[in-house]
Amino acid sequence: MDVCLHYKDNQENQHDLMLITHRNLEDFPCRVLKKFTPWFPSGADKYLPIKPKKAPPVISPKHLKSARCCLQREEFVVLSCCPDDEQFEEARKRKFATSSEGIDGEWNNAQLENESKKFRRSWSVFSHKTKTAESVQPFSRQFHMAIQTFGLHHHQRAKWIICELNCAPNSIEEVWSRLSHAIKHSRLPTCNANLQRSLAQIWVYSDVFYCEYIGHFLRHKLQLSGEINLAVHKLGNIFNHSFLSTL
Amino acid sequence: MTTLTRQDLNFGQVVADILCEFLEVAIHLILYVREVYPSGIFQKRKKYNVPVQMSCHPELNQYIQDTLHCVKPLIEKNEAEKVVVVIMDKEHHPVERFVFEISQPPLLSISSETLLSHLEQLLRAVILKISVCDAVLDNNPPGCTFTVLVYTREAATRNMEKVQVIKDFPWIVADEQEVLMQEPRLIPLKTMTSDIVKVQ
Repeated sequence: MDVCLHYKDNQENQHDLMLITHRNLEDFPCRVLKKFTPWFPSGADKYLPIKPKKAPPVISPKHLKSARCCLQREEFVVLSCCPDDEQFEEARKRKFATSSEGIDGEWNNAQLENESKKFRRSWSVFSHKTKTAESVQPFSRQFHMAIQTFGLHHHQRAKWIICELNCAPNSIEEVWSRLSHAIKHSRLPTCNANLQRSLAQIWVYSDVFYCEYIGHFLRHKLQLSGEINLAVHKLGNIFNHSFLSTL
Repeated sequence: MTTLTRQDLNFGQVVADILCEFLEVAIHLILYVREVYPSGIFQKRKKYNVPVQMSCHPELNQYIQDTLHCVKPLIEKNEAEKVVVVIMDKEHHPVERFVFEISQPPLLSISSETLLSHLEQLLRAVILKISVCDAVLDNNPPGCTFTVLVYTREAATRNMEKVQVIKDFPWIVADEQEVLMQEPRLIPLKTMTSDIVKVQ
C-alpha cells in the first residue's frame, strides 16, 4: 500500500512530518480476548454428534463358514454373540429347538445335518439348452380363452404354484428334487423354479406359450394331485389344474 | 409444476424416506468396499439401476435399519446436519469417516415426472463413487468396526428424545475420541444438488 503525504510549502522540517506520519500509521494495539466458555451446560455438546449406544455386530471370518448354511434361512441364527464355534453350535441347536419343527423332540446331529442339506438350494439350475424331449402341443380351448381374456403375450412369464398338498404322498422336497433335475436337463422350456420353503410352495415360472405343456408335465411326471394354479404377476390366478384335467 | 413449502404435509417425510433409503444402500456398500465385514456376508443387489452389495446378515441388517429408523425423524424435521459413517480401528479410534452433509432447500419445486428420475440419477452417481472410493483410500487395519454419528443442528442433548424411537436402541452423545481424527485428509467424493435435498 502506498501512502501519499501532502504538506504545505511553509513547513520546513520534512523529517518531523515523516515521523508524525509513521506514528499515525502504526497498528492499533490488539487486545487478546479470552476464549469464551459458556457457563451453562446446554451448549457444551453442540458440536458433539449422537450415536447408537449399542455397538454393531462383530462377524469374524471364523464364524462365516458356519453362518453360510444358515444365511439361506429366513429365521437366522444369531452368530455374532458367540465367541467360538461350540457356542455357535449350541445357539444353532437352541434356535432349531424353539422353532415349530423342534417342539416335539430334541434335535440330534443327524437332524441338524439333514436340516442343513434340506436348505441348501432354493432356486433351480438353469440350462441354456433349449431342446425339449417331447413336442409342445397346441393350446387347449380353455387355455386359449384364458390368454384371450387376460390379454397375455406369449413371452409373458407366468408361474405354476405347487403346494405341499399337491405333492402327497411324496414330500415337497422330493418333488422339488425331481423338478430341478428336469429343468437342469432342459425338459421344461423357458422354465425356472423356486422353492418357497417358508410357504411350503414350489413356484414354476415359464413363458405363457409353454405354460400348458409344463402344467401337463408337472401333473403327469411329478405325479401331482389336487389343483394347481397358474398365476400371472398383477393378475393373480388365471388358470388351474382342474381345467387341465378336463382336457 | 407444483411448488410445495416445508410446511406442506409430506415434504419432510418424502425427503426422509428417500434419504434413509439412500443411506441404507450407502452404509451397506461402504461396509463392503472398506472390508469392515467379510465379503461372504454380502450379496449383489440392484439399486438405482446399478449393482450394489448388501449384507445378508440379519443382525447387521437390523442394526442398520434400527439406526436409520431413529435418524428418520431428525431428517424429517430438517434437524440432522450430517450423517457420518465412521470406521474405527480396534482401539476405537476413527480411521475413516464418510460424511453425508444434508441440507434441504426452504422451497421445493416438484415436477413429478422429472423429480424422481433426476434424483435417482444423482443418487446413483453418489453410489457409484462410493463403490470405487477404495481406489483413492488406503487399506484399513484389520479388525475394524463402524458406527454411525449424527450431527444435529441444535445441541445433541436436545435431540435425544427425538431419536429414541426404538425402545431397545438407545442413543448417546459420542465421545470426543470417536469424533476427532489425527491428521485428517479430506477426499471429496461427490456433491449432489436436487430440488429436494443436497448431499455432499
